[in-house]
Amino acid sequence: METQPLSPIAGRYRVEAHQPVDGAGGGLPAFAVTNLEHGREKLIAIQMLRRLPARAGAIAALGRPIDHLMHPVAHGAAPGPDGHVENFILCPAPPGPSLARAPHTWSEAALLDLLLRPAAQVLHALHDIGLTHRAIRPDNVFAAAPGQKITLGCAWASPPASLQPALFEPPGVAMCVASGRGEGCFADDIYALGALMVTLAAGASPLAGLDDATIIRRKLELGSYAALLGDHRLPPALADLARGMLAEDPEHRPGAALLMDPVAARTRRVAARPARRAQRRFRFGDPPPADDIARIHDPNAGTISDARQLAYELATHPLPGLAALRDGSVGSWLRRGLGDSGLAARIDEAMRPQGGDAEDTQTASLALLRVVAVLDPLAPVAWEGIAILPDGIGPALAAALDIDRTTIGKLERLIAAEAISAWGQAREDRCDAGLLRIAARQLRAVQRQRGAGGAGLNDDAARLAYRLNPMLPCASPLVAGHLVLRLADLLPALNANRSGFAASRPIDAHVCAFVAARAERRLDSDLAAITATDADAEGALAQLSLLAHIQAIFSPQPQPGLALWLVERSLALGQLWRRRDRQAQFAVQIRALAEIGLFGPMLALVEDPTSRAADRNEARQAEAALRRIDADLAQLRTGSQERAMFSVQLGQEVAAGIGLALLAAVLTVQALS
Amino acid sequence: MARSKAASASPISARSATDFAPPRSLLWLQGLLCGGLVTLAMPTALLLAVLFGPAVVAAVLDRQPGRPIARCVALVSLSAITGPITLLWAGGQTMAAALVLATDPDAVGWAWGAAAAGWLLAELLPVGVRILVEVASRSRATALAAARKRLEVEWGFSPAANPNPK
Repeated sequence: METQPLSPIAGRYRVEAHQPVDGAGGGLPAFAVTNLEHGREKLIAIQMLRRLPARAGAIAALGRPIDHLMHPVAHGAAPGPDGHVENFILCPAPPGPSLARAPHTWSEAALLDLLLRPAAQVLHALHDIGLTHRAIRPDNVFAAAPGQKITLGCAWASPPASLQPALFEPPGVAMCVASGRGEGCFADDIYALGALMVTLAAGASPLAGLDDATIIRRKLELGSYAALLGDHRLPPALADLARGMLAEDPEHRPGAALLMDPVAARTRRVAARPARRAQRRFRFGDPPPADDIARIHDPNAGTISDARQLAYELATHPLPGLAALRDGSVGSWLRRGLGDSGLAARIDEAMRPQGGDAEDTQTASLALLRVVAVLDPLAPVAWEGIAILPDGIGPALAAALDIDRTTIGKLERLIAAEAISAWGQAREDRCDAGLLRIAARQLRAVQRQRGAGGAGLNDDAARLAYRLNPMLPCASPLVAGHLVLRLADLLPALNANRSGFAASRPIDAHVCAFVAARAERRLDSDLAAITATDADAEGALAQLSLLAHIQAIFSPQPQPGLALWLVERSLALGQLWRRRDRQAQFAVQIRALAEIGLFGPMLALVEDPTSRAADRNEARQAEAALRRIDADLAQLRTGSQERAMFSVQLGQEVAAGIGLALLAAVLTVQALS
Repeated sequence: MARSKAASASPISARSATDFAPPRSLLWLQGLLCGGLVTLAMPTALLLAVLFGPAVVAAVLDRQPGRPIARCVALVSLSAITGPITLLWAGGQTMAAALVLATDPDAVGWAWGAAAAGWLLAELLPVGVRILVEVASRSRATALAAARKRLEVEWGFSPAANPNPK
């Protein structure tokens, strides 16, 4: 693998990969940055993990600095600590250690003045430009020293909320797969800030150390505020604020602008109607064993007392949940235990198959999805045991690509079934069902786009992942060690890695999917011609055509190394010509063109229609001549007997002719004499 | 049935020699002509019987369809006995002259020698023609193999399975 010199990020920042800055990345690796123009601003570089694509929209939208926020200054590629090229996002260095590294109990005044107000200012500024932060947690909030205002850390280098513990997320979001939580809503930031405030006020949360499922169940059982605080008591003002910020319904949480004035925020009390609870707890499926860890922490684990808990258990245990729905035990409990016949009727309605066979897996999954959405309108899309929010599908695909086929399969089926559309229709009062229907159809259209990869290299999941994540680098082993975010980066990376290619082709399923996603259908015809094998000439021609068009449109630099490698290793190209002397002549000509490094002239040479048509015609004539020769030779081999008979007949006729001629001559002579 | 099958497989060789025997009416006609000749031209018949005897023998012995050997022997013999017959007819066609000619060693030698030459001609010419045809076939096979080899080299065709024709 050749290393290519990288220019400094934004022309002046050099990432010092050998100088890690511990704890500054909020869970991601962070490194020191040298400003080559001697600027006074101190920056750090936060490494973006390859399978956790950065938030491209947020990075683009954050054009100006925001006080108390580690905003993105620049981003780009630089050598990482292992020497491979990685993507980094540059942010102002945090003012001090994270709150997780300097734990102490915060006073009410400190919480309001040093945490709440500056954080609310940041969130207000972000929300003004339509962005969420989604990374408010102790290890991503920094303070120079006790008594100093906090700074919110970087939230742009990974998918939104992908590194958030369940403790700091509403239960409906926490139950999602980590990368599939989506951009979320402004109220999710308020919830995280409230959870952080409660945690700092209490010194430690009673939920700390519990697994995610237990935390979610506890929050659903007790309510977030009570679950987070446990037996601890907060001062009344703080308690009122925290209760509002941790409200279960996002619409009941105060906005960031209101929180900048905590006194006013405290007075805003939204009285939420308490959820209907059953006296008799309900359980479906097999009871957990006595030594089950969740049951040790919570004797009521797995038992249900309200609709939201029921929704959660159905979402996380789809098979026993469906069985319980079908045998009527759920409906019965809703009517008799919970006393909500209306809800039970809506569940029955949601369970009815809508345009499918009731026994079909997809129909059953859609029915369960609708039931969960009816039971808990705040719950995410529940599909085959995983939960996800619609705009989190892309990052979730990226995180699972090549390493979690089970999740990939579930997500592919989710898209194929247009599940997010069904989810939107089941909770129309909470979302724009029309927009979700359009989004679902767009996703499915991308999934069904079969142009890429022909028969053997098609990878719907990879194509979707690249399409939905503009900052997801190409994960092909052919470009290992390089950061290929754009099509312009592809050819230089292939050129640098060519000596390590195991196969005799520079294109694999990942490259196909990446090109299909990034080229926006401009190269579909080339991709459709790519075949799984490189043995045939047309497949080799398709590869060359794809490379030529990528070079022409996206990356005009000559790539002589890759071109020569292709000419030397992809022997099938020569097979486009039938006549041997033309093949030899072609080899000389294409090698000369490859040394220049431009694929376009190589393609023109290969595709020369006049010469190829003449070659084909001559080849057909030669084949016909060969058939004639073979037939004649076969006739000569097998015609010995016929020739013998012919020879005898001819010889006898000639003898008779000679006798006749002799007789005629004698008679003529005698007649004349 | 068996005969028809054999005939379809090899139409010439399978036909029996009797198939080529003259029709019985023609045989009668020949007998009548011979009888007429003996009755009306006894000396000529005697001379022909002596000088044309080998041709008659060949006609009897040659069982090939069309009697090609007998035909050749007859034609060559006819050219040899034309002289004695002409002499006989010029001398008034007497029995004495016929006996003189029939016992003349030169006339008999020429006539029988001619018959032998005709037989040799009929036997040797097919062999000679076959040699010529085989030589021509070999030459053509060699030319075709060379043309095939040239195509193989030019176009990369696979070599022939059995490139050497017999």
